[in-house]
Amino acid sequence: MVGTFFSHSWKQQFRSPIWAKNLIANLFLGFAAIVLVGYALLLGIFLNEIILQLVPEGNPLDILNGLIIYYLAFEFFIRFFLQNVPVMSIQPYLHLPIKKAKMINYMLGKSAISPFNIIGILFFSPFAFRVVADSQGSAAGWGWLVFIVGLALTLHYLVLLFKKKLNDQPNLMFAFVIIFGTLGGLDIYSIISLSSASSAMMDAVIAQPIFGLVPVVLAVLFYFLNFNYLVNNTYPEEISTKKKTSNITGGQFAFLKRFGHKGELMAAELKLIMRHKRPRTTVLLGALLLLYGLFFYPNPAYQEMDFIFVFVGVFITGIFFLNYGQFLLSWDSGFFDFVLTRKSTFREYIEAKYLLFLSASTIAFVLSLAYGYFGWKIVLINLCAYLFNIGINVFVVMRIAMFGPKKIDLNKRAAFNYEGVGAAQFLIIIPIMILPYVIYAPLAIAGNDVLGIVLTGGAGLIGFLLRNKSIDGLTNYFIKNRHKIAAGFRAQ
Amino acid sequence: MINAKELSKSYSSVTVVNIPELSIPKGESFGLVGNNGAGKTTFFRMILDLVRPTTGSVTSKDVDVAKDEDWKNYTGSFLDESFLIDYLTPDEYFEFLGSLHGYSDGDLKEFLQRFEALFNDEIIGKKKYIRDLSKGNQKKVGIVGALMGNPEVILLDEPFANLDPTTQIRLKDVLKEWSEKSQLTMLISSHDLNHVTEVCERIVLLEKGEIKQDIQTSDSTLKDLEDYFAAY
Repeated sequence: MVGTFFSHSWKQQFRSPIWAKNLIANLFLGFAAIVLVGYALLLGIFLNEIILQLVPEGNPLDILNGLIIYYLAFEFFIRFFLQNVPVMSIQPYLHLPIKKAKMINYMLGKSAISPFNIIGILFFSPFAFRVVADSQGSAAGWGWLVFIVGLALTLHYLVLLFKKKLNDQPNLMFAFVIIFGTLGGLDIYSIISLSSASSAMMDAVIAQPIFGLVPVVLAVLFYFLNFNYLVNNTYPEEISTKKKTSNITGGQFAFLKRFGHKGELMAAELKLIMRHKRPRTTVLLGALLLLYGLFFYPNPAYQEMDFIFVFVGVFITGIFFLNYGQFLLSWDSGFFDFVLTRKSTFREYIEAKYLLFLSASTIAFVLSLAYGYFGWKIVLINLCAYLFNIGINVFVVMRIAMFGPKKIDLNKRAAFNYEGVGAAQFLIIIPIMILPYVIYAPLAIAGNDVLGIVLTGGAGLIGFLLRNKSIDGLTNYFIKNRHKIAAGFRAQ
Repeated sequence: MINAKELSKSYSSVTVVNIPELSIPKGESFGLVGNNGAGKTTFFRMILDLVRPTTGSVTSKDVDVAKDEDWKNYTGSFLDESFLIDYLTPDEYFEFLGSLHGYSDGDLKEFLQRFEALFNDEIIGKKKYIRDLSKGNQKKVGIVGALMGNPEVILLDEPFANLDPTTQIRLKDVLKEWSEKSQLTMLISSHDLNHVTEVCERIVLLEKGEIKQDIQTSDSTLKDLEDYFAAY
């Protein structure tokens, strides 16, 4: 049975439509995982030397022992935010003649094979054998390692249980924050020393390696608490962490209705953004990146490199369409057939998107005026970058985004979601990094960078005045390729 | 066979099912009708222990389904696509179910052969995942899966929806044949009054979670039901 379950989860991974469609992103993630594991192992192997480098006069074992408790606290938080049990995946098995206990054991067991546990083991085992066993005897080394791994497993099952209970009792979170905060505070003000508590605990384990089994027993205990909880709560509607019905959020954007169909389309798009996590996050991130300038303008290192400011200007004033617009049609992929059949022209559809990007860029530009504090030239650069964005770049991005768009499921999470990523996301570098420099770079090299900036802005202005031509062009392309795009969305 | 007592389910004070007493004897073909939101699916889910009743309980062979899992061994069910493992091919799915019911390869082949007409050569041996099948074909996979392992009880939610006319007729024949041949207790919910009156001996009409009518099917049943829903 366990074998069947394993083969099913394997198939689920490799047969997922997202897996195949995002092969490159997956390969990259896999590569990153291997690198991470490699780093953990390398760090673990050289931990002794690293600590000696940092604190030459200390004893690495003592120092590490003193830090274990902080490591565990850190791990708890990381786990809390990133760790998940895929409970919903047992739904198709619930009505079949398989004992619930079997499924739950499988689920809990499988969850133990998590990157957190593996990295922990890789990180601490070399040290346990190279240093602890070497200096304190091999029993102490084993005890030390088993103790830490046992604690990691305890945390593992504790976090699983904690997250589930949190659904029933949200107040638990406060209790935990208070406990952690108090302990941390007491530690910071040296009223108690967590570090010496940690040392004392680890020293005891080294002196009596049998203590290493204590957290193992705890881990088993938490395992069974989880098991018990799950056995009594294996109802799909109860284990689902999602809220069943979400409240209606976001305004109605009634003021946009005045602009007819285009306004309605813009309002619908704004609602789409407000009501889904991924587009919302994309937009919020964009808002945060408005502060990007603070990173460049005051930095003396960049003062001689004006050319970077052009890029910064393009980035700041165009962040919304660069970020959100690169998935232009993908956001609508879930209801694309509706887009194609509803009573509004395709030109209105494209133009509404353009107007939305135009408004966002304008708002960003107005906000960026605050950077005038760093000199008039910044304002000039941003103005020209803004014009270039709304006249040329935005159309380039929209055109690139129509290049084989991929489906996005709006209801999926925002973080680490590579759905919809395709060739377009690599091409997007062109409007950010290359286009703005086509006019500017030769003139700047010839020594007339202000003229370069002004001409870049001028080109943007001309593009803006001719915007209807660009919108027509995009619309025509859209009309020509709409069946292909729709088929692509349906197939995925 | 299946008994519901004081059974109710509420979601934040809205009661969606409220059945004080209902018992379905062994071998009965039982039809459940009602408009959207009448509570048909929720009732079925409670029979399958997929929804926790707010009050009361469902027993199958006098054992509470929420307390013991024995019912799973003799109950076949298909309510919706979440009952399927959509990343498997139909062959893999049937093999998996077959292994649960102790079918040998030969048993499985023989079993599936009986549904050749129903499958219409679109399901077995095609290299397609269940999620890539049409809704109708997914339904066929689910229903045939539910019939595996000689169940004593079978629950189907809207078995006729999404199926083409030929398949609807074939499915009706399959269901009739099974219920007559093997004393199968059959619970079907449907919006299709024609089919349900034809297949089921007894029809229960739910409205807003309550039983409004409980009738033995006769020649006039279809007309009565149509009149009821027309006047609703």
